[in-house]
Amino acid sequence: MKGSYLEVRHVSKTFPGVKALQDVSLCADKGEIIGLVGINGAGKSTLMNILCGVLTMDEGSISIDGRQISISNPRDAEQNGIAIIHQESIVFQFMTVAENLYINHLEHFVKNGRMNYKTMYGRAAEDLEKVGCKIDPSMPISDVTIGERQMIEIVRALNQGADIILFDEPTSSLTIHEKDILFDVIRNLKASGKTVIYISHFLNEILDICDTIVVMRDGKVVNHLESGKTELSEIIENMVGHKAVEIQADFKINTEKPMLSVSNLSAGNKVRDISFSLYEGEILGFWGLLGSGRTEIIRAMLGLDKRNAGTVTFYDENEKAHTIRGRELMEHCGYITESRHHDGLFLRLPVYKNFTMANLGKYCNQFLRMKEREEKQELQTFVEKLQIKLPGFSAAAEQLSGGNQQKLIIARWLSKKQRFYIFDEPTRGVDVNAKSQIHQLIFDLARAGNGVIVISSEIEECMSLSSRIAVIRKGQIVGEVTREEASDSKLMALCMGEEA
Amino acid sequence: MMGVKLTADNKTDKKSINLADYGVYFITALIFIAFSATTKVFLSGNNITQLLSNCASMLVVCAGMTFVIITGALDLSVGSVLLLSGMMINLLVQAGVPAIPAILCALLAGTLIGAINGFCVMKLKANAFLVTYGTQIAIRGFALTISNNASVYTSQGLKDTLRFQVAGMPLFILLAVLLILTAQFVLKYTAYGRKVIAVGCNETGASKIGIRTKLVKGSVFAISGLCAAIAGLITVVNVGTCAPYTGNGIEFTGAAAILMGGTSMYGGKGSIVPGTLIGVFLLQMMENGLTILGIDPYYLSLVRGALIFIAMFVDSLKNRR
Repeated sequence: MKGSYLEVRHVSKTFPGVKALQDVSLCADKGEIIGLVGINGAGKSTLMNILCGVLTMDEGSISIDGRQISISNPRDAEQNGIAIIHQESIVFQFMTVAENLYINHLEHFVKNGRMNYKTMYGRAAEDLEKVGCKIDPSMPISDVTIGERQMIEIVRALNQGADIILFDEPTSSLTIHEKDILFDVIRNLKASGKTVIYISHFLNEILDICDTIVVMRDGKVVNHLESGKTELSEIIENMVGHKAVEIQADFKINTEKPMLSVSNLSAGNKVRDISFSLYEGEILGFWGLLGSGRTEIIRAMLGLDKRNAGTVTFYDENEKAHTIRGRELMEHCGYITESRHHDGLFLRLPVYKNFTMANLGKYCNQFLRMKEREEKQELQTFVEKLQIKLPGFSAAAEQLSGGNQQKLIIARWLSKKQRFYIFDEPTRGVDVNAKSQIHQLIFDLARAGNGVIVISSEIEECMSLSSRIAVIRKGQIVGEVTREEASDSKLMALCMGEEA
Repeated sequence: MMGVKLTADNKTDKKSINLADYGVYFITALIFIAFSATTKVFLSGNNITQLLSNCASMLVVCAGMTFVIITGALDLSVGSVLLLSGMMINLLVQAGVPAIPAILCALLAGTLIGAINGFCVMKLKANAFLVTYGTQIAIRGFALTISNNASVYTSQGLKDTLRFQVAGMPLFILLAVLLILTAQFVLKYTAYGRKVIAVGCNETGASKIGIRTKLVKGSVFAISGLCAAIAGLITVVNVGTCAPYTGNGIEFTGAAAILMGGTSMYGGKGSIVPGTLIGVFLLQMMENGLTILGIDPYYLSLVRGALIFIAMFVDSLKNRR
């Protein structure tokens, strides 16, 4: 362990009620790519935040090239050559590519008291070329793809003289092609002697690109694995501490009893002539590429966007049909949205208030007063049922890990006893362990006779959960495939527009 | 994370004690002690009643405005609504309308103006700041038109009816206390209050679990308008006149008091009791105490400005991550 370029030794960090890191050590050489894996809440993000100066550690030391350094703010990290490439690139929407690139050092391009855009664009083109990126530096950043924005962040980091580059889930919103380009760039960084720390939930990527894999669990480093000699299942075992379970699919679909039928629904320019039915006990998968209009279909169905044409009919317990107007469907449905932080949780409110927010009427007494004790009691039953780990009922929702946040949102709707659920990307940013628990939950919901719609970009997830998959392209349902017929190639073919 | 076994009776959910949260109480206590020690008048019964009377109308305005600020907006029209309500009550009573209908008319007008503000924010998707700035100017103009830009005195009859004391306290102080307690109850313990906080905390999230966010955002303005109108009533009874400058600038000093009380300008967090109550009390106590000490009125503005500055600073400190 002695003599590595970057040495992190015996780092500990405690948050109120949680030991986020306990005696964590990690070494990396120049030209090495370290893969950092672990389920959510294992401590990866905390470690990264300490390295880039967002958090300070309670104990331990960090040294670079044998020299002990202290990092107490992001500026220290930058001066010590540490840079982080965020999951979602930080860009300034109304500026050009080049301005975004040199945002910290715009003064270098000032000539005679004004900005010299010509030199700036020239430099930018050269710098971008180094990572094989050929975008026009004078373009507004809003016209640039997510993959290219990431390249801009990498160039920004290199310009700042970064020698240690941290990647936090860099591929989660990239296309396959963009991912290949990114991997080439990362390999080039390695070849030029940079140290790379790569965090991802996609273990195939980790095996593909990393030299060493560091597995974290419960705030500790549990194992160092060499990627050439490691199997996927071995990593997963190390991450969860036991083997993940597969879902047994024996659906009890009642095709006599539709729960929801949508016919000829159109809205905006992203939802065109959508018709489908959902039956009791069924999990209907919506699969399509990013931007194919999956979420928009749901929004139109729920009335969150204006419907231009078409009817939505909901059948209640007594098989009575209700034609849905406005947002009425929201009364009947549990909607687990795509982005927890953006539109799922009230991050700064206590956990129990998050839990009951969709069902406030149930916890009101005759004087309109909220019965907080009952709210907490109800939450307690779900904490046990779904194995949600909380620091306390009054803790803010932001203190939970991703998986527990997602379970909290699911618990919110379960307690309202809805019969119809929509899961939009139910396991994004959730660790392997929580993922299989959430899959099991969704499946149990269907088994209990509820209707479920699952939207997922992950083709495996969609296939393993759904009893039927609707493939969506350009706002239309271009095909329906049953569970038995479904295969990667068949779905891909449909969504690319080839006849299956 | 490490699972902690919880039970519903667990009352030990601790909140970390934060200087920024409690600083305002220390400061208020310190200043209170300082004024009591340095002047003989400050702690006298008459002065305390005077101080509370000064607090009453601002408290009522701020109780309503706290709802608006918690949704992340601002209501600039409260001062004008207060003026209009005061003018309406005095003019109607002068014109021979009995007290109760005159007061109800004024309260209705205030609620209506609030509802119009709410409607513009809700349906026309207009910026709350600009909408309420517009109503501020327009309503002040209207109020000054009906009063011929002159002070209107409160009729002796009205004062006689409403200026009695209950348990040694003027009626309107008790009214203000009752009102802020009700407002706090609504905010903290009812489903509606939860929704207001939810909308301030995460509007898109609230809409996706079926909360009618626009209705919530609109309704807080109606509450604010009603409260401002009630404050108009309290002012005319207390002061005995409604002058053209009545209510001028109360939207900003009020907002500052609310912020000092720990309600966040960023929305989603705040309280009326103790928050807004302590903020208003601190502001009024400073003015009262410094006046007793014989400080130049211009310095009063300086002190008020400094307090507002500190409030803003503490608010941003608390929201820094």
